Amino acid sequence: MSERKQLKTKKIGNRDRTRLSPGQAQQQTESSQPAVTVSPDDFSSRLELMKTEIKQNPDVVFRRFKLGFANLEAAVVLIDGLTDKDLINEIMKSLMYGVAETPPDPQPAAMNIKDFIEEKILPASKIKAVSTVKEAAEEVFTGFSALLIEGMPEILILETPSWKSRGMEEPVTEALVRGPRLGFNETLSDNISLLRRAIASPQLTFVDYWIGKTAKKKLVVAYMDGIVDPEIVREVQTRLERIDIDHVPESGYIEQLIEDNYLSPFPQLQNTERADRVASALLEGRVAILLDGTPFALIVPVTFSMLLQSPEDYYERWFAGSLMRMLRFAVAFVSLFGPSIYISFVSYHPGLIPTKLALSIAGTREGVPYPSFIEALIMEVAIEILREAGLRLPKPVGQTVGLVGGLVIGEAAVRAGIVSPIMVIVVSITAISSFAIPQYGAGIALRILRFGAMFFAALLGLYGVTLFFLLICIHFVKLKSFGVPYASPAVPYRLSDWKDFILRMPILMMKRRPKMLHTKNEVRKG
Amino acid sequence: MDRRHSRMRPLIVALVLLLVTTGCWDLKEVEELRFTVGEGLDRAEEETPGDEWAAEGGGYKKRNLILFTQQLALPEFIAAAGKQNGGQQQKPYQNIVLTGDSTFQMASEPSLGHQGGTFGQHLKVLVIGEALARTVNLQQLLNEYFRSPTVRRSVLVFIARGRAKDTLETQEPGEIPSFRLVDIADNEKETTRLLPPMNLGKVNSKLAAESSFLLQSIASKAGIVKFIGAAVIKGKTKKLIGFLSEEELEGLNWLTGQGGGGAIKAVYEEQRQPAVYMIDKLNSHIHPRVEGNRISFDVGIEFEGRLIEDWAIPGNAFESKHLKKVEKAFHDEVRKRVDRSLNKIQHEYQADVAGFGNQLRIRYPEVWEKVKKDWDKEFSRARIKYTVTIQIRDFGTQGSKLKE
Repeated sequence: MSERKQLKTKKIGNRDRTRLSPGQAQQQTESSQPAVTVSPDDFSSRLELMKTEIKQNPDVVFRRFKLGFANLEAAVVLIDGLTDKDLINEIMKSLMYGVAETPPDPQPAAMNIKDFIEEKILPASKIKAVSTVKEAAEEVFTGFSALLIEGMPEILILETPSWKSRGMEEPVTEALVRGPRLGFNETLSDNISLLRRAIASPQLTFVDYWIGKTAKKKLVVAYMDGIVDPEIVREVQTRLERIDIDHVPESGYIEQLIEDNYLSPFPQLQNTERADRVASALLEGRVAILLDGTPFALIVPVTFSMLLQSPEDYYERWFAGSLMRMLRFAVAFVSLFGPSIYISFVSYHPGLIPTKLALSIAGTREGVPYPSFIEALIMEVAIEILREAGLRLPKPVGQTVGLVGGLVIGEAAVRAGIVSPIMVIVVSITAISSFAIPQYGAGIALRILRFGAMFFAALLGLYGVTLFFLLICIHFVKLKSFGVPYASPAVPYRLSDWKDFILRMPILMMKRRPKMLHTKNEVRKG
Repeated sequence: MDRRHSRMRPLIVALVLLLVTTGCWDLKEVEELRFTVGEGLDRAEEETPGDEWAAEGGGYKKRNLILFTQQLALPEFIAAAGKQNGGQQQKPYQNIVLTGDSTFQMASEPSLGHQGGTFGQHLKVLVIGEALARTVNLQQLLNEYFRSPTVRRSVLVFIARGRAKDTLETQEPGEIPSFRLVDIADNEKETTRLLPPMNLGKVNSKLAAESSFLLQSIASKAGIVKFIGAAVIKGKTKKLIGFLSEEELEGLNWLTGQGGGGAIKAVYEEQRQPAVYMIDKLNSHIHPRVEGNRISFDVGIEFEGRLIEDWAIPGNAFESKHLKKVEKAFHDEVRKRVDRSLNKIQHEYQADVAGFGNQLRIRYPEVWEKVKKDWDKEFSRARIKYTVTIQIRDFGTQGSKLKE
């Protein structure tokens, strides 16, 4: 196993010189052993060490200068584009001239130079001292600046990260009519501050993680201390610590690495761009996972009913919320079983269709060369292709594709006698239903299962559809998300949690947090 | 891990094979079916349709007792009927006529000459010709329908005055006669001259209980079918013994409080002008009474409704005296008609088709046990008293027709 892995790394290393060789990679993993200790005497050699550690990349800036208050050499190491230039200039100005205006202690070199600089000179808000070049290099790559000073054993790390980030906009995938028009962006610190602003409470706890072996990325686990079940937090943390991967480009990686069952079609973590959604999940006693570089936060544990919910259910009055909830359950059913029920009625149980409808279906199907299953399959695949094509193309082109495709499928296919008009209706209702599911991931899950249901319907009719439904149910009740049963509160049955399930009962009635999450503090409302 | 896979593989293969090899047994696409929507049964006369191929070895051993009409809906022409693609229109139905002695054999016979499989689950109506119903025990005639797993209990049963075959034809383009019959039977709330629909399930239970009952009778004249009165089936013989005219049926419906809507027309007083009463609500209560060996019934009939037409001048509806007069006229009319109907079922047909026996069974079960064997005879001897109350609740925006 390990041999193969090494070979792979080597291959990459050969192709790309900038990557670490396998030996170095191994060295890096053993972080407990300090690789190189900084020798206090030789400033230039330390700088050289730093250079080899960081590698000579065009975006790395090594700026050597002399301190203004003492005849000591110093250097700032930073990455161009990741740091706040104004702040660096300010810092350097104070290091180079600042002391001339306010004469320091007569013998600065005599006292601890580190304390002196930290206390009197540097205007940076957060300073950290590290003792190894390797540590310093790691910090530099995340936007911090390293300050090396002749004769000082530590390297000072200055908090200077600043980069261009997208403004906070309304999330496109989770648009609401009513609710905050604010979503996460790609900067972790922005997202964290957004959560802080939503929950102004010392109970809101963030725990830092660095994920990724080769390319590190910051990850934050957020939860409400005193509300959340510590068991869930511990479970999240163990799973996160178990992650052993070179690089995490997006939170989808995290999701797939820590989910309970990778064979299940159902998403076991919820992803969202909405800060309000995360905030209310935290206050319900759930745990959120935020990753740097993506606006998608993850929420655990997840139950299936959560995937059919929208924050708007709570913002609107409860009648509207409940109605939408019921509609979504119906929509989920249609999107899962629409075509399969049609197939089984048309191919196996024409006696179950009202007489006149049966006759009209038979009339429109006259001359269609395929059995209903093949017909449905053609249409479903066509719709999937259309959807995919429309999604990937630039917006105006995507619309054209949708229009042309819709026209071809809806009109021409029927005229040509390849499909019957009723099949077009069934397929389009099903497609619209699957788009009405608020969570994209849940919609995909149901779409995948739809094909299974269609296959069963084609083989065994309604009996097959029932079998398939039972299969899903068996999987469904077995599935858990971080210790919480996926089908709850239906299975296991908890009546008190049904207040927020198929119906969204008035907020007046939701006095306790969900029982299924075993929260430490159940009271939500007096 | 590998071992587990090797054990799972045969299982998975078996499961897939099981599904694939056993699946699709019952597959029958909807467009490949022959939908039977109506059937007619007549007594066979001289003609023997379906036997034209006898010389070439066609046909099977049978007696030609029944003339069987099977009505198939033709979906392709139903769909085309809306489009009107010029030329003459194809009828959306097809009647196959056969003779034989077994309804099941006759129903499956078209499989030799028509494409698609017979599909009887959408059978809607069954029409029995007058001649056949008079001569054949209905329980014998219909036993295949009661047994068949595909025929539903909701199939409506009619008796045709004349031939059933003719009632399954229509002149209306784009219309299926069977559906037309079903739709007309639905007009129960519109008129009291219509019998509440009788389906196979109800007929089955009536036949099994050996009680007399009514079936809606229909007749066809020049390709137009109309519902006219009712056919009386005698419980003892399970055969048709006669008909009630539309007016007699209406009288009976008033007596039993069945149906709603409809009207009472009475000609009154010296002016000999008609007045019409629109029935809004009709109620009737049958109270059986047993005194020694004598069984009698008290019936209370209550009408609520409005004066909808009054041709008399001035016919002042503001005057309660006038209204009373009109009410009296309606009252007399109802009595006259109910008397006639009662006389017909009690004395001419001697068949309790109005549910008197059922009320007796409910109130006096022990008496019913004694008389139920020959109830129709007993019924013909029972005394039936009834009272009629008619209320005019409303006369609209027309009071007097003369200015004072």
